[in-house]
This record gives sequence, structure tokens and C-alpha cells, in this order.
Amino acid sequence: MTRARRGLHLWFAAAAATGAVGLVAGVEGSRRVVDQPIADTAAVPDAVPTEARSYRDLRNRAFGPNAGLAEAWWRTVAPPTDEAPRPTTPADRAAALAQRAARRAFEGAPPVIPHEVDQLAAPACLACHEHGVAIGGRIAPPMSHPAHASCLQCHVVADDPRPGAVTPPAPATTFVGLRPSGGGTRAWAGAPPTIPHSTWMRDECASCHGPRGRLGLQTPHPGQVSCRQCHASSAVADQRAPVPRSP
Amino acid sequence: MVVAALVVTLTSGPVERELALAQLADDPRLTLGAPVRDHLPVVATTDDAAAGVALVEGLSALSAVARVDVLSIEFEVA
Amino acid sequence: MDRRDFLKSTALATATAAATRLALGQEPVAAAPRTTDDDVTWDKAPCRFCGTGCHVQVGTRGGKVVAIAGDQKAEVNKGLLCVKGYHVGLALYGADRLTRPLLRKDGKLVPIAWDQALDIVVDRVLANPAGFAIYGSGQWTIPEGYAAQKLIKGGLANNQIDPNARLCMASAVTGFLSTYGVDEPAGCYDDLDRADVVVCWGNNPAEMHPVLFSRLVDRRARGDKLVLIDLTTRRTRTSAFADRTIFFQPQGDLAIANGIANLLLERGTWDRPFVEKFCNFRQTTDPLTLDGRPMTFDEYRQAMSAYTPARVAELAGVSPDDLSYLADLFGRRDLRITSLWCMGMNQHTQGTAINDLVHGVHLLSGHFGKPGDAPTSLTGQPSACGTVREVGTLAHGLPGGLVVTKAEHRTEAEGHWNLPPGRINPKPGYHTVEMWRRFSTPSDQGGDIDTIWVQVTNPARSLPNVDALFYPSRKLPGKFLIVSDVYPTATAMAADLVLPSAMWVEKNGMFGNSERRTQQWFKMVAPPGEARDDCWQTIAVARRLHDRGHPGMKDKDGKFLFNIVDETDRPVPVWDWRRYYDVNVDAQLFEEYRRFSRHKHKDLAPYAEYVKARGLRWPVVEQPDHTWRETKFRFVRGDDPYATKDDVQFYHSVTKDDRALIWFHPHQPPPEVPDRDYPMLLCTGRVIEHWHTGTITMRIPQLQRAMPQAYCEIHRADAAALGVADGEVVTIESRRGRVDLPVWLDGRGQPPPGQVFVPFFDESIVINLVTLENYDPLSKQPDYKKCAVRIRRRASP
Repeated sequence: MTRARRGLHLWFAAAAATGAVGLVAGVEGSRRVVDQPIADTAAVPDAVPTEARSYRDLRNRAFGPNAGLAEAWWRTVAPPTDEAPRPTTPADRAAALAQRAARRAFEGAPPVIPHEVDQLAAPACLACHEHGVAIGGRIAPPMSHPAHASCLQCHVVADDPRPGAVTPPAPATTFVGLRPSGGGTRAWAGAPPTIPHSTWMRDECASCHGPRGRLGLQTPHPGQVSCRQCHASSAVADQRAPVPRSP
Repeated sequence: MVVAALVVTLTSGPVERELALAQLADDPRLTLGAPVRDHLPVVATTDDAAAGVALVEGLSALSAVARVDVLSIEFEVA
Repeated sequence: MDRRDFLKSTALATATAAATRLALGQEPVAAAPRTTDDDVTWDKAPCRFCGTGCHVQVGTRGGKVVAIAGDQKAEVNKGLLCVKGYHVGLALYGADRLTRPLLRKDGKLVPIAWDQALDIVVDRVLANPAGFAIYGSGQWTIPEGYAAQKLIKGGLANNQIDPNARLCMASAVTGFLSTYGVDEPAGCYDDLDRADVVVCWGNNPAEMHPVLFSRLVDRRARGDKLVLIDLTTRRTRTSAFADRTIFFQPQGDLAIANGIANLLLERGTWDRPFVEKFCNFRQTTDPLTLDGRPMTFDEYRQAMSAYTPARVAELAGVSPDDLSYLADLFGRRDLRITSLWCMGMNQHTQGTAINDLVHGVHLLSGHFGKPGDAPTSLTGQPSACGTVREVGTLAHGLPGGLVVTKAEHRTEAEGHWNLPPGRINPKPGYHTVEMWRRFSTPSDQGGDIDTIWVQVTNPARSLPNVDALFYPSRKLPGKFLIVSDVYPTATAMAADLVLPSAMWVEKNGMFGNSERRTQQWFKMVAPPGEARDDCWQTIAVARRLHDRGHPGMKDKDGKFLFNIVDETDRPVPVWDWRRYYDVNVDAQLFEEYRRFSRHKHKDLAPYAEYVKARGLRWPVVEQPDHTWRETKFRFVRGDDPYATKDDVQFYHSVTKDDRALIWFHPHQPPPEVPDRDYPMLLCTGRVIEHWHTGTITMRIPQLQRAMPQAYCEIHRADAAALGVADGEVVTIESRRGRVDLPVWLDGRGQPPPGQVFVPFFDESIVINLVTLENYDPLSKQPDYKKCAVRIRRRASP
């Protein structure tokens, strides 16, 4: 086991412990919500049968009898939505796209895995990639697609998986893959841009554009989660358009 | 409490520009981002909406400011 | 961070993004070229790799393939692909594509013109027509295989054509023929959506048929209860997903199948009504035949009774508990059971027998003919079914399941081809191993094959015991090897003449997958340099033979064998490359070929129907409203239009009574067992990243880097006994040859003590120097899975 992997395991142990504590605290919390509303949940006044809540509260606070439980659990696994997106620059975006491209043969190809994996066991990828985690400077992005059981069917490691093996140079190829476009189009300045890529297997926008996405690709409005309410997808990229056929 | 996201577009003259920047930086209601060419990201925090409107009007009146765009306003309850 | 700070930083990000856009134009990276949507053209094609038959969407721009996507309209894969499929577009762009014909002069391959190259092929044919053979492939498109088939069987009439599919699914064919009287699975992939239990017989679909495997295991996430049983000789990725992994000794599968049958009989849990209505019993004869000898049910029961759990434990190393568990499942009528197998059961000296026995377990227990109840063999090549089994490009075959040995079949084929009666030769040609053995034997010592034209395959790596079957020919005078390929493979580099070929979407094509699905695609990009379609190469050679007076190149009315015409029925000289795409040659060859498909009720629809579909499963039968309907479940009334008599009707029954045959075959030991000198057992196989001999996948950076070279898996205890460390290079040696390669402990798979596993994808590590050439007596398919070897530390590097 490499040092990096051992580190990961320690981290998991810590995360599990935190989770357990959170769970207990959460159960406590849920009782508290029912018995005596705490001061800062001002939007939940006592003895009001139908709660009027702001959209922000719906988004940011759990409510109902299990509110405390849900919040405690969510804190352990969810991306920190209370963390503000950092301002991004064109250089950030270019760097993010270059990093993406380095792991993909073409735009839309499944990315290769930049770390070791167990070559034989059932994949444990979801431990990190279901919701995404950040460990130090490294980010494990959440998956862009619904979970499939056999992750290693599409994703392979980027280097010879045998311990200590030296990966030979890549074979020469003249293939030039499709690369991400400059972004979607806007009907007018300020209009929400269209989605410039296929949304097939990429329908979890937060994978790249959420708070766990690369700087430069993150949305400036992470609170809005119904992305396709404003951003239109491409019928051609999504295979919904009639395709011109050869004779 | 109201929080607004603004873009302040400055005129190109270097002297007025420095003056305007200093003036904006001194205003406790304003938080400045890093300017991109002539465009300065600004966050304005005021006690209520009316104060916010007055602040934006005041900024627009500055000689080194070409225009002020209001991008978003958060009307917070607390 | 408090709430206000959060709001402020969100607002600042919004403002910064807006300022950036205002400053730099529409988008921060507006300078990057726009690449999606508008200028990329998408079209469908089946994947070029395994027999699953996924459809991909191929994105092309500026005459090049630039992207691949899973085809959401394809029933097989429903938009998903495996890592090979996602990278199939890169197959075209290895830097060392062959772009000019090459001729060996003074030991070196030098470029020559196409004209000269074709003349050389024709000279070789005319010099000795009987000694000219074509060695083809399950990667041939259907029209390519059909053209080669017609040239050899209808033109040269020497029947010397056999494909590499002989090495991968011949035993599945003989298993279907001897059980049902007709080839190919009755079930289809829909069974995987419905089965309660799936048994993998020596099969690792998690790596070899990944999309089908996902189709299966992803059901669990939807709440389906699926029991996956991994019957295996080594731990694989499939084991990781299995509810029960049952390890057995190589060759123990025969005893396991018999042991299940015995328990079903002993417990009375076999399906008496099904068997009494739909089955007869057979046993082997000496010498072996596909028809065998009838036996009564009592004789069958008696023969099976020898396979008690204790005996199976002894022969196969499977515990009575595990055997009982399997028999329990098969004995239940409330479960739907699908069996899957591929090379483990086919590359087997008892390949026909084990195929028969697994069909037998399903028939005996009635797990047949209902959705989810199916014995289904998987294939390794994209058109092993379409081009080899259906077009019949085997030494004895004719299209549509006809054979050269039957007079009425020859007459029918001569009719379809408009040939003079008696043109087709009744004597089968040589099967693969025999063809190559004779090519590697001096002509004066019985080596009567002197020219082989190889298309779309790499026998220098994929034949067993290559030092005996392939390389001697390269030193014998008078032997001439012609290779049509896309890359300088080991075979091409050993050839006398190399013809550069177009591949995949550089040409029109059709494939047939493992579930009887015929697929079509159009040419999307031009081949590089002077590379040209294999089908054109065959027709161009035939035309030159015609022009130089070979009588076989004309039908009985004096017309050229490949009479391709325009819409006014005038011949088009498609042998001239500049005219080849004036008409759709594929469509015309396919229309001619599909006339053969009625004989065995493998009806194919007109070409135009396949253009519209993501493949159709035969029989595809025209409906009263002139639409064409495919068949999912063969022999099953209600779905198969030819099954009308009862719920199930085996209408090509060997016994002509609409019944399938349940066989008894005894356990037989493998031809070579470990002994004192060679104490370990070698199994060869595959990995997910690579396909066959790696000539394509090793040229795709993402696949090559993920698995750059072959290795050998052994058990930790064996490594310790040998004093070998993980990663250390060892020598694996058999009575035939040896290779050096690194050990990988607990890597991709885990063999039990005493066994070794080596993947065969690596052209630079020729494991087939070590393997055995012994083959199944009926299918003639070699056994790459079991031979005795010894391992030692390499003396010096």
C-alpha cells in the first residue's frame, strides 16, 4: 500500500468517526427542534401549522422532525454549500479545461483515473465520488452521471497498475479529439448560456460546475440547483435531433 | 440588510481612476474585487433597499465612473 | 463564515464574473475555437471490438473521427459503452497505419503499386489454385466475408477458407448444432433483464463483455434481486460482483454439469413435462459425430448417476455443498436462469461436450424458452456470428447454414449464385490448425497449402503453438504469405506481400453480434493513403482472375461472379477503385446473400431496413403490413413466427421431431496435466483494456497506458515457494516454448495455487509459443486454457 493510500484510509476513519458523532448529535437535535425551537431558526415560529419559509431557508436548512438528523448527516457528506465560490479568471478556466483535456481522449470520453485503484475488488469509487470530497488541495469530484456498479468498465487508470512498474511512453497517434468549445451561446449579453456539451452521462452539473468543480468551471450561483431551468441543452449533442444520413 | 453585487465601469483616465478607486476603497459599505481592465467588481452592503439605491446613484455620479451595473440584490431578513 | 459573509462573497463572485465578461467579451475563453454542435456530424455504427455489438455514435469533422458517444437509441447498450468502445474512434489513427502495398524484396518490405500487388496475388492463385487459401476473421464485415466465401467456394472451388473465429467460437457452433440442429443462441440480451439467476461458466464478463455485465449488475441498484454465480478457475472482477464464487479445477466443468444433471434426476426436480414433450437423449460415439447415438432416458439417468457429489468433488474440486446449491437453483421452476459462457467453454478440447452439457442442464430443468431462461453463448469478435457462422466462412460452410458436404445444399447455393451444376466442391477445406500446419510443412512432405491470404487478423500471435504452426512457413521456399491489414502487425511484418486496408467507418459495413442482431453502417471518413476496403481487394483479385481466363470467375451465363450493377442494371466496374463507391456494393452483396438466409429460417430483412435500425435480430420476417419484425426468443411460440406447433418447437431438430437433444458426455482429462517436470497449469485470457492481440488497442494511448504489457498471475504461496517477488521477471516454459514476463501478485486476478494466468494481448510477449495446439475433435477449436508449464526465476536479465 502506498503512503497516499494509507493516508486516504486514515482520512476515511476520521470521516466515519465524525459521521457517527454527527449522527448522534443529529438525533439529539431532532428532539430539540420538536421541543423547543432554537433562536436562530427564526423562520420556524412555534405553533404555526404551515411554515412560511423563504427559498433560501428551504435550501439551507433542514426542517421537520428529522431536521437535526438530516443536517448533521448532510454536514458530513455534502459539499459545503456555505462556502462561497471563489472569483474566477479566464486563466482559471483555461487551466481547468486543460486539466480536463489531459485526462480525456476527447470531449465526452470517460476520464482516466489519476490515482491507484484496487484492480480486483468491487469498486469503492462511490466512497469519494458519490458526493465528492476535498482532501488537502485535491478534489475528488462527484460523478457526472447516475451511479453504475461497474465503474472500471469505463474508467481505467492512467498508468501501469502493476506496483513499481514504469509506464512506457504512450503510442504515437494522429487522433485529434473534440475539445470543449468556448462555452454556450447567449441570446443577449446577460442571458443564461446554453449548455455547449452533451448532457448524456453528464447530467449532474455540480460534478464540474458545483463547489467541488475545478476553479474556472464553477457556477457563480451554486445555490440554484435546477440548472436546466435556465440553461438549454443541445439536441444534437444529446442525440435528440434528426441526424443527417449518408445516402 | 441588503447585499448587492455591482460592476462599476471606470473611465480610462489614470488620475481620476486612482482617485475614484481610493474613494470607493474608503467606503465601509463597499467591498472591492480585483478590477478586470475598466471593470471593477463591487459588493455593496446597506441597511435597507433605499440606502442601496442611494448608494448606487451616488457611485454613478462620481466623475471617474462611466456606469454602474446592478447584477443581483439579496434582501436578507435578519 | 457567517451568513452575511457568505452572501457577500457570493455577490463578489457574481460581480467578478460579470466584470470579466464585460472586459473580455462574451466569455472568458472566447478565443478558444468553438468545437461542438454545429460542425460535427454524428452517425451510427456498431463498435468494432467484441461480439456484444454496442452501437456508438461517431462524431466526424473535417474528414476525421473526433469523438465517440454511446448510442442512446441502441437496445444493446442503451447509451453506455465500455472503455474500449469509448476509444474505438482512436483505432483509426495509430501513427503507423499501413498506407501502401508492400512487397518483400531481399528480406525487406518495400512499397509497390496496387496494380503490381494485385497481379502478384493473381499469379500465386494461377500458379496453384488448389494450394491457395484465405484465412479470414470474425472482424470481417458480412459483405467482406461473403465476397471471400464466394471467391473460394463459388469461384476457385477449393473450399480453402477458414476464419480466426475457429479459435474462438467453433465449439459453441457445434454445441448448438448437436443440441438444436441449427446454430446460434435461442435467447438474447433481453434475458439478462429478466433472469433471477445468472451463471457464468468460466466466463469473466465484467472485463470481456462489460456492457452486458453492467446491464446485469445495474439491475441491483433498481431493487431487482439478481443472483450472480461465478463458476471460475481463478478470482476475477466478475467474482467481485458475484453472490457466490465457485472455484473449480480446469476441465472440471464437465463433471459439474453432469453433477447438476445427476442431482436433478436423483431429487426428481428435473422438468418432466418439458423433457417429455421437447427432448430426446443422446450419447457420444467413437469416433465422435455431431449426431451421436440415441439413448433412452433410463440409460441417460444411469450414465449420469456416476456423477455423485463426491465424484464431482474429486474431479472438479467443487464442494458437494456448492454443487447442491447449483442443483437447487436449477431444480426450481419459480426462478429464471440464464447461463453465459465464452472462451472458457469454447477453447476446450472437450468444447462441444461442455457446450452440449450446459444446454442439457437447461433443457433437463426446463430453464429454456421463457424470457430470462436461456443458455447463451457470448462471442469475442464483432461479427463472429454475422460473418463466420451466418455467412459460413468455414472450410465446410456455405452461406445460411448450408454445408458443402450435402448435395442439396450445394445445389441450392449454385442456384443462388447462378453457377453451373457441380461447380461447388463437396470436399471441405482445411480447418485453421490444419491449414497452418500444412502451410508450415514443406510442399513435398504433404504441405499442400502454399499461399495464404490473411485478412483482418493476426495469426502470428493468435494461433496456438506458433513456433510449430506459423513461423516454419516463413523459412520454407515456395510458401507465400499475403496479409491485408491496417497496422504492421506481427503477421504483416512476417508477410511476403502486405495490402493496406480500410477499417471500420472508413468503409461501409455490416456486422452480426452474439444475439443474432445484424447491424449496418456507412463509410464516414476516407481511409489513409492508398488503404482500400478488403471487399474491394477480393473483388479486384477476382476480376483479374476473370480477365486472365480463370473459368471459375464466371457464372453459368458468362457473367462476372461479382456482377455489381447501377440502377439501370448495367455492370459497374467496381474493381476499379475509383468506381468502387459509385454504387453501394455492400447493399448489393447483402441482397444476394440474404436469399440464403431462408433455408435455416435465419431470415434477413432488406438492406434498407438495417439502415433505419440499430440492428435487427433474425429471423426478421415481413409482416402483412410490409413492416419487418425481428425475433427475440427463437423456437418460442408467440415470438418466433416459425414456432407454431407448441409452446416450444425445435423446428430444425436433429431427430426431425421438433425435439432438442440432451447429451451425455463423460468427464475427460485434459490432454496435458501437470507433472513433475511441468508442475503448473497455464491459462491464457484477456483484460478489459485490450482486444485480442492488441494490434489496435495498444495503439490507443488511454488503453495502452492503463495496461502497457502482459504479466503473469500466480498465487502468493507459489511465488514464495519460487522465491519470486512481485514484479520480478520469470520464465514460463512448456514442452513447446517459453516466454519471460513479470509476475503480478493479487493484481487483476488471483489464480489458486498451482495455476498461472497470462493475458495474450501483448504482441511483444508471445504466450502462444507456450500453449498447446490440441483441439476439440468436432469443432477443431484449440484449447488455450490448459497446458502444463514450469516457472523459474530468470537466470540473468
